[in-house]
Amino acid sequence: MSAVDTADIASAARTRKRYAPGLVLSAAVLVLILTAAIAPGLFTRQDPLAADPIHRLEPPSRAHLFGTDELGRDLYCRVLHGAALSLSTAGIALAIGLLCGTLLGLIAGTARGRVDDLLMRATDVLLAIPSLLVSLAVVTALGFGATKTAVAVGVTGIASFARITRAEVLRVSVAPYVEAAHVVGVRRPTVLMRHVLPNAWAPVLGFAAVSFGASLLAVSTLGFLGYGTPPPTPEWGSLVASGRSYFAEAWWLSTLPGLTIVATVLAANRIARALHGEDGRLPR
Amino acid sequence: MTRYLLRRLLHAAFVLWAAFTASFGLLYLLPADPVSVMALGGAGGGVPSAAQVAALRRAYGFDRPVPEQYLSRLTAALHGDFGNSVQTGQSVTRLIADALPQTLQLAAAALLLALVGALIVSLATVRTLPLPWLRHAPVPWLGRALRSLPALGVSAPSFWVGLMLIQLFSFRWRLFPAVGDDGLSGLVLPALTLALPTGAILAQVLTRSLVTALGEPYIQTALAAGSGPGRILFRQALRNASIAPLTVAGLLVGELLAGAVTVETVFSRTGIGRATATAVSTQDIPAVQGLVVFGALVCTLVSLVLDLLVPLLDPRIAATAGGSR
Amino acid sequence: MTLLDQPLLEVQGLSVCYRTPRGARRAVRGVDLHVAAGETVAVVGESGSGKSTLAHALIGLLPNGGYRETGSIRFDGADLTALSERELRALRGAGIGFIPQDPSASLNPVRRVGHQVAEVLRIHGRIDRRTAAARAVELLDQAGVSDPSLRAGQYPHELSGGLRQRVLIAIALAAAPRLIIADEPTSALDVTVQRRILDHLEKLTHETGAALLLITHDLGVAADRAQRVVVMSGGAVVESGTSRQVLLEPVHSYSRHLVASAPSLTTRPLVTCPSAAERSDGESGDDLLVADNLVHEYPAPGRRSGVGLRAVDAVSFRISRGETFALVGESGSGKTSIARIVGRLLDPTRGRVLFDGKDITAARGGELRALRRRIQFVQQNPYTSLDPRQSVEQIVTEPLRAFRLGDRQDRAARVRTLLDQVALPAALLRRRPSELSGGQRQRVAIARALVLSPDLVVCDEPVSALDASVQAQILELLVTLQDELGVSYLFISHDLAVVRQIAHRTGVLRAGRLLEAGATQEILTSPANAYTKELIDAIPGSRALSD
Repeated sequence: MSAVDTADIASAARTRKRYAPGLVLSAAVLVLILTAAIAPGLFTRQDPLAADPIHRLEPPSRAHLFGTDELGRDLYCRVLHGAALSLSTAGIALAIGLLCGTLLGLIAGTARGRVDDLLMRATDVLLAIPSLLVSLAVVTALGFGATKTAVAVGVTGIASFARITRAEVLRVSVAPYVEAAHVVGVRRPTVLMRHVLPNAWAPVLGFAAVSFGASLLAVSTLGFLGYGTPPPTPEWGSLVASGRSYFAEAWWLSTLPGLTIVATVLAANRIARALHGEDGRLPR
Repeated sequence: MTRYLLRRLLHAAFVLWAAFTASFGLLYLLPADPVSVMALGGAGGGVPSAAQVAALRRAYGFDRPVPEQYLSRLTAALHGDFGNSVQTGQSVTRLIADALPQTLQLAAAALLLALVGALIVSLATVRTLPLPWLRHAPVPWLGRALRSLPALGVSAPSFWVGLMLIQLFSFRWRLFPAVGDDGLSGLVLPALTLALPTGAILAQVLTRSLVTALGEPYIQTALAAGSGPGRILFRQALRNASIAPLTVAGLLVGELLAGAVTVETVFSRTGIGRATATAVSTQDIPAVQGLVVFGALVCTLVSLVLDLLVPLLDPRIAATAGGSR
Repeated sequence: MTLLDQPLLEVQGLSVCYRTPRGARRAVRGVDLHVAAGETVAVVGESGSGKSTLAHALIGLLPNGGYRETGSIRFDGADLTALSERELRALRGAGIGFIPQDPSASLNPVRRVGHQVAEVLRIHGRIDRRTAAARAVELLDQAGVSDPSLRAGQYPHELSGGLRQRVLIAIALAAAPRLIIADEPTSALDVTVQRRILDHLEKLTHETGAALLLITHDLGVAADRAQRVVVMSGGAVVESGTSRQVLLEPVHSYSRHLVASAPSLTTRPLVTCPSAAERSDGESGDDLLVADNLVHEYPAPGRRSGVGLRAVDAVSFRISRGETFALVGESGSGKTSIARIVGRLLDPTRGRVLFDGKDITAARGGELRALRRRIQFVQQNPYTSLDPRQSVEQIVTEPLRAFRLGDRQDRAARVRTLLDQVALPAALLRRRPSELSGGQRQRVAIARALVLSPDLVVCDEPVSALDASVQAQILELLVTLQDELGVSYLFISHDLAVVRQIAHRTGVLRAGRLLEAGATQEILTSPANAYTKELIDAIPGSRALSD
């Protein structure tokens, strides 16, 4: 009976800040970057591929916000144009992991028995190999390029999504209200659609939101190592890599694109955490 | 307990076999013509001649049917033979063995840094929580700052962190060397870079786990009996809280190995990571397969060790493990 | 008043608030309370009454966001509100001991039980590890733990609920405090275990001369064990007096309401039991359900052959039309398994279930679905038996949709009829379960069970999760519905007092065996089995009433 007492106490103790400054800042950053990805022309009028050798390796200034690279190209412009590629690749990778993984997890959670066993062993194997190594193996087999990078990163996400979906489906399937639905005569497929899925997808989506940042990092890493779209097309990871050769004299070449990655991932993670609920459950 | 151990060993063996088979399928069966892929990489930029390709095909047994290829490779792998690297010609196992010590050094240093760092940050964060029984003047900004540290660590790509460290500590302040393998001073920056994401995740998990433990009813019992903050934190909560990070630590060792790829590339160090990067760049299929299976081996070994450690910490698991499952 | 007459604990005008996002919420208002040395005082209240907050405020362990607004707390002459945290810490355990509720979570799962007791000794006295360990074993023995030296080396998960509670008692008493605060110390335990533990606690407090402040929701327990009773509601004290006074001559309307709805104290049943002449023991054509030698075994883990756990052991009973048959038992008695077998959620290992003459034990597929229209289920926990994402209307309409009965208007009308029958306002149709109280949720669950007009409803502990006053309402509702609709109930409960009110016939279960069955009144007045007698004696409140 004091369970309700303690529930009162617990909810009183949780002072939830709705509009913390960090959250507002993160939202602003994400909006800016997304706009840049969709319409880079709004922020800069220059051409990311236009070389201007006279002004090579200039530090940041009013004319060139991020400075110029070894061919005189405006770095700010290249970063903006690279946003679309980096973000979309990360997005595709996330989608691959989400769609394939949740489907597999759903099958495992509802079919149970042999099928479940088989699928779980498969995810065990995938999770036993470090994700970057898996991505590298896929890249070796498929070759280099943006879409192949997306696939390489997406594959690593399948196992985690499958695990989470399966766990949620199992958790909801044994909930009393699902059993009650069986008792009142609802057929199995209808129970699945009407009761199990709607109550199970929320934590999975929360996980997806949190995974976007990781996806972006992985895609950038593959780009940095040289397995993404070949130059001169700008991509955040490869921008950092190409800045290495001149790193001693031109610090901005690697630092600023990398900073953009950090800012994006930070903002995405912050928003995902807020959506997810601080204690891991989606607030109703 | 022995039955539990046997089951875990069997599982580990299965995982290794599956990793081998999956990478075999991926690397040898997926590409349209793996031989030309390898030949292209092995030719180092030039175009391989038809004779070279044919020689490669024979040497690697691609003219035999697939199941035969698979079985022969499997038996070879069981003897530790993963074929020869197309790039260098030496055996893949040799390649790994040569590169291993450097990476082990790096990984060990990074793990130590990560553990210590995570512990300090977590304990400090918990200490600043507005818990009534801690009864010190709460410093909210410090708490918020400490809580956001791990988030920063997780959000920064390690290649960028490494470059930043080089810029500051090598170029500006000339404290540590930027590249190379030599000695302790050359280990500092790479180890720091590698430790950051791992330590950040560990800190997050440990903090969350500590906060959960501190909210459990048995803490109330201890408080009601007169325990002070020190006893509560170290004797009651910490042991419970360390179970969750320990299970994550297994995953993280694998991530350390993966992180070595970027770190060794950025700092131009020799090691497994650099070898992997080179192998991928040249699409050296045998080498990549060997490295993937090696990665799986390391992770499986670590999780086996952890499976033995966790029951020591949590008697409830020891009961279900030793019992009859 | 001499120094000797001064109460050990004196609380005056205590108000406790919580800081919430919506402002301060007062959980305890102006409470006056006093406990003399060696006295036992009970604080009784339902959920939300503030009794638990009061208990925590006394030792300064309010959760995050709670604070004392006004009032004083004097213990042994000293003002607790003026003490520093360090001084309070010295007091906790040594001056005031605390027995928490929920033994399953109140012990540290990764430390041995003996160590947890010894820890208290080491905090408050300068004794070394070995002496503390030995003394801990003694304390466990005193608290009634069997085989104390063995138990001291065990972990909490290896002990039963009753044993864990005893360990908590040992921890609370370890440093010989003069006042013990027990926060619902036995709510989570079986009633016979509860009785033994409360007996033991009584004995210990008498031996040590300690005063006991007992927090409970059960008025019967309060009346049995305490000399004085304080009734709380909505954060304030509404009545206080000796237990006899509060029980037999309650003054405040709330206390009267509480006394009236406490099942253990109500001796008048809601149904009339069949007389000996009407009672049918032999074959009867009026039987709706017959359970014949039901056996259910769980396979032993890890071993292929060999008998595992036998949850149900050759249980047979019958239920007539329009009657309520109750199965009473404590945890592990098999009552839930039987409920699930009858409700066809579980297959028995052996035995048959006959419904309306037909053997339904092996019913599958279409036959099973058809059965669902005639046998329904009400689950124990109203907080988890309703889909949180559906509205009340959707929940109650669902059975009709599943069987495609009627069109939309027919269904809406039927749902409205049912809501009337369970006394819920139509305004609740659009609400979600999270917006309803426990009692309202259970009414929705009952409406859902009845919407198909079943012949039999299996009720698995339908009132156990509810407050006493709400319990009484739901029981009355069930009886009214039975009168109106002629539905039979298989009523599962651990509470003999509840069963006494609602069941025509009762069966007593223990460890999977049906010990005896018959008309409820007969079983209660002249039980044939010793265990039944134990159950009857363990009903709290019987002591106070029998004086």
